[in-house]
Amino acid sequence: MTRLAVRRLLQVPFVLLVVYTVSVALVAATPGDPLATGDKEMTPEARRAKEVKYNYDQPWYRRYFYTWPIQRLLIDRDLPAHRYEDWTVPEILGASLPVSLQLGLFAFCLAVAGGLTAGILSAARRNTWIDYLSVALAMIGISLPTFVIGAGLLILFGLWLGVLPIGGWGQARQVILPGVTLSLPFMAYMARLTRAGMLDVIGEDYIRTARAKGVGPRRVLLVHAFKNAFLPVLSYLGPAAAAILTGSFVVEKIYTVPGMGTHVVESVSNRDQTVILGTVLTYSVFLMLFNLLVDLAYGWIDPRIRLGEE
Amino acid sequence: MVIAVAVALILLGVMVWSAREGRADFVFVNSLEPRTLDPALTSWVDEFRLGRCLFEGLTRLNDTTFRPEPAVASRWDVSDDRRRYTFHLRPEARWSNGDPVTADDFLFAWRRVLDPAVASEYFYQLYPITNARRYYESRSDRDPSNDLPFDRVGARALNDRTLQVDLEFPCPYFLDLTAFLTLSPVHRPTLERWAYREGRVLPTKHLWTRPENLVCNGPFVIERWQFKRRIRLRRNPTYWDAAAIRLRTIEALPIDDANTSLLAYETGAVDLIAAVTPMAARALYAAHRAGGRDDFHPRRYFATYFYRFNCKRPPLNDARVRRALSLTIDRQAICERVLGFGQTPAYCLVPAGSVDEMTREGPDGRSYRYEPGRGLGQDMTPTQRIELARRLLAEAGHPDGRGVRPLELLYNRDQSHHLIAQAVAKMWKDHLGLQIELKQLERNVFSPRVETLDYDIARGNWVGDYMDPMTFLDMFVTDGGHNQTGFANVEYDRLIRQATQEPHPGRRFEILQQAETLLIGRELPIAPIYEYVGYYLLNPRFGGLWPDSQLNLFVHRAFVQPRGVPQTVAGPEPHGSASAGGTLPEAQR
Repeated sequence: MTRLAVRRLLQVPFVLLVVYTVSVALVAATPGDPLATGDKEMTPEARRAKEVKYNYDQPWYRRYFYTWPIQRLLIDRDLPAHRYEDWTVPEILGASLPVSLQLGLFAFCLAVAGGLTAGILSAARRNTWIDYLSVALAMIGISLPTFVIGAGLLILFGLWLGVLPIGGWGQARQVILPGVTLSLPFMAYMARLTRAGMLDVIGEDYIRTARAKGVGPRRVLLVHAFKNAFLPVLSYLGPAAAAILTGSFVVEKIYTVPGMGTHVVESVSNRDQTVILGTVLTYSVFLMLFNLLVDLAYGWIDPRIRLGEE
Repeated sequence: MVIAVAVALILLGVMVWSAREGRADFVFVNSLEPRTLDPALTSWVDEFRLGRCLFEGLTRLNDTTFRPEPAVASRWDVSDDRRRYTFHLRPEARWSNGDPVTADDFLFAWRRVLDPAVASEYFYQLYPITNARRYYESRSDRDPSNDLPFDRVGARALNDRTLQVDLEFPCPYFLDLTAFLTLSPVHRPTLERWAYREGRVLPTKHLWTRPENLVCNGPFVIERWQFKRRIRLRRNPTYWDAAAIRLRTIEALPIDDANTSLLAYETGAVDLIAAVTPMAARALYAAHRAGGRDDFHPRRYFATYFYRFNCKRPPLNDARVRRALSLTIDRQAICERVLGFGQTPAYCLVPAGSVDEMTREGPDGRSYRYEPGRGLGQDMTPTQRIELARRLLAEAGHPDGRGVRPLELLYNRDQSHHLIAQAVAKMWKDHLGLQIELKQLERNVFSPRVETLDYDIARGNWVGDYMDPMTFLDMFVTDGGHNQTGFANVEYDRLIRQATQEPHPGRRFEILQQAETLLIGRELPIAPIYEYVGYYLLNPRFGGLWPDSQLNLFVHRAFVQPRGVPQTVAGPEPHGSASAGGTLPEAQR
């Protein structure tokens, strides 16, 4: 277990280096002028000033090895983003990542709680109205795009009922709608996974054994069956957590949430190279972290799976 | 599962506990987070709206007439040849830290704007000042030995409170320019601490606009700037005219989704929005026309939408082909069927709807009005236009479009640009038999291609920087920075030069009219399509926001309306001169 964790942590720098290199290559291959931010004509000297400011005057290897990773992302000197001239890249990430984490954690908890409950209930009450309802809701959650759900919830709760604010960030009431919207697709997918996993397991011999031994139906379902049915859900949780926690462009745009998802998309259309690198690397770190957590949890839930100890 | 629910509840609890601030007196939606609050660098309408709350120049625009009026300068003397202005600064003008605003603060600010290394986008607003252009250009090469010293620029402090400015030519709109944000003073010690010292841009330059560092001289100071969440302004007690300011706090929210901002307005969470989706704008416009929604204010806007033709590339280097293309565009159909919220067809470059606001008084006391140039096809019927277009194309050697290669029409990504391009391409195909390839590009790809003349036909627009025809017409002088069509015409250049030197407003307008007629009646490096309209939604509780044709919206002048008084907008139409251009926010570009 420890060996697995250590080995995986040692891989992190190498993976990050690869991600960084590929991102730099993709950024370099993207057409468009990263300095063309305004509508006004740029005089040659103004262009040169900007080139110096954003280090386009330097040779590529210096930018690749030093300017971008160290000077701009880590030590944060002198180097505002292209789009936000008054803010540096670490400041932008520092302001938006906590927002995404708060919203993401809330949405993640909702998704897990709702998804598992719905999945277990519909498996236990198979082919009853509860099952049909939960399967139907899950289908809707998966197939309706976020911007439709988001706009619908806004109009319903914000405009017609007037009980929740339209957007913004900073108050508890402002978390509810974006949190629910963000969690719905994940919740729906988890419900389906749980239901399928439960149905698979319920027919197994050890469940019958447990029942025969006189274990109550609730305990059979929640402890014996659920533990094994949970494994496919668990492998989905890693990438889901990384995706939820690093923000969603659509949800952030609809509800005016100042999170990281916006920067992921905006920085690409602005050709804001260091913001692109910053967001991509942050996302990679989260993805690796949650995948590691999932792998560790595997071993904890099912002792037969001991990765790294062949 | 239980854990998950518990965590979610705790999170909510933590956020309830987290600090809550009361609603500001006036909350408005600024559709974009400002790039910067530095007055030398701001260039978007949204940034100007905030900048005008924080900084004030020698003059300011009156909030109802939009004519320049005394601000930091309490009065000024103008020499007889209209080329020397002496400004007397009012002693009670102070910075937010209590320091007096001095003539030197202006010189320092202007010197900074004119330094190419600072990369101000509006440096050319200072060009009427003697030698300002030479100063900027001497620094625009890599050779420091030919740099002009700043004392050769025609601006000097006679003492702390007197600023003398010499002009290159009798610029009739100079007092409009001194009200422009780029020319506002900056607090020298603050700038030297963070941003700009001894002609060098400092690495910490982005820190000087932070609330804890920013020293400003406008009606408001910045209380809090939460990145992409809100900017909160507080009334500046040291502002010389603080008695006229009735709001205590203003909040700007960067809501960039137009549907969300409309919902926020409808629920009363915000008091002012200046951008909605085209669909909502059409619905609101229709309701407004039908007598409802008097909180919706459509206004003509000092901006023109046009197509650029690449005058260097065949077959567009032939003026007859350009004329034919322009004649075939059915502007009425585009305004009514594609856009549909009050836009008007444009045959001229200078928005004809704004001429009343460009009236100038001559030395004889008479006021002079600009008569727009004669646009090609302006007085013809649609059939006549098409006939002439087909004849011109045939004269150019392409009857029924024969022998013309497929032409590429570029535009930046936007729903309405796309619809207009489709409509125009169909008109050109149906009437002239031309093949048009539509090409939608991202902004960062689009702009460089237009600048380097790597296009056949490209969408463009211009928002006037100050209320004068010159802001539109001087774009198209040979090699002008915003020309971007390759158009070069000796006669046009001569007319613009002549108008610049002409002190009499009446004669000046006549020369400008000749130039415009040459441009859009004969040569057509561009085909004007429509004149913009601006609009905004304002909570009827508020007064004091007068619409001007540049949609400046002086939010700092807003006040809560006494009950029963009709909204100020119902008052007289604003006349006179307004300045402050600015680039359109993303949604409208």
